[in-house]
Amino acid sequence: MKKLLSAFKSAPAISAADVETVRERIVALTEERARIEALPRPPEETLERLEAFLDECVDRADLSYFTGKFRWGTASSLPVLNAEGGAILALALISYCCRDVVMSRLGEIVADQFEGKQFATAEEQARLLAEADAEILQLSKAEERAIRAAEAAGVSIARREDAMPAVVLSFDEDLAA
Amino acid sequence: MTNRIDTDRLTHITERATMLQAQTRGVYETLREVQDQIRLLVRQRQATAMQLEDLRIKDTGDLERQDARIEALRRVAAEREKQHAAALEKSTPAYRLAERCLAYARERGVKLPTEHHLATGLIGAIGQ
Repeated sequence: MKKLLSAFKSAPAISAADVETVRERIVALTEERARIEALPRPPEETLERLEAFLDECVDRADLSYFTGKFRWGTASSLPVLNAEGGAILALALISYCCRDVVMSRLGEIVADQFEGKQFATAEEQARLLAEADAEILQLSKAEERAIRAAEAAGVSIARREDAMPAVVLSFDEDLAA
Repeated sequence: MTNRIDTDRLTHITERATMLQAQTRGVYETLREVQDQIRLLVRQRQATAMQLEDLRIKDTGDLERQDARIEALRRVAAEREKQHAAALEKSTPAYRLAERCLAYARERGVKLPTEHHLATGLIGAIGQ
């Protein structure tokens, strides 16, 4: 990319084709950015979050309220639980009884899901996104410099509708690489 | 990268978008005129055909002349539609970018003179 950017700094004549080359790179980087953004967390973090969810179910499930519902009535008129309350209660009960078995099985499922797949920790993802953003910004500035150089030479090149306003509206001196 | 905003450039981008919009609107209006003429001629041709039928007169060439005129206008309309599509292709991205630039400037407290506002909206939606 440095070669591409330096060409834009020194080239006396800028053509629409040159701008197109930078735009293609911006599109590719934007797609890469979206891919990075969609990367899942590592399996260990996924399991940590699953376990935290089970802990939360245990915290939220009110077993004394649950048992209280059965103090009256008959075997033929059982109390009704709503779907969310029922699910939380079920997960809490499972966690009480066999947390290790559940986590072991979930670990196997998560391992299968991640087989051969890429993932990133929050820190890795933030770093990769920052790198992609920095490169997109540099390319956008190179693109804008090229468009302005072409305009100065009397050639009008339309700006992209998704160009960065911060770049498009910057002063010439702020566009320096 | 600083957050300074070049308001002259904002004006330039907004004016360019407005100019392209005006061009698009101009092409669209000429297209509408031709389409109106075609509708009028088609109605006239139908009236001529009914009169000839009522009078039991064989076509004296009027219908042929009207058909030829309608056909010619349809070719003009097709050409105008192409021009309109091309104008729209240029003006829409310029308009959208100008809108985003205006919003960006507004968010950063840049006070915009009224002429910076894009008042007309996108042309493509008219009558379609």
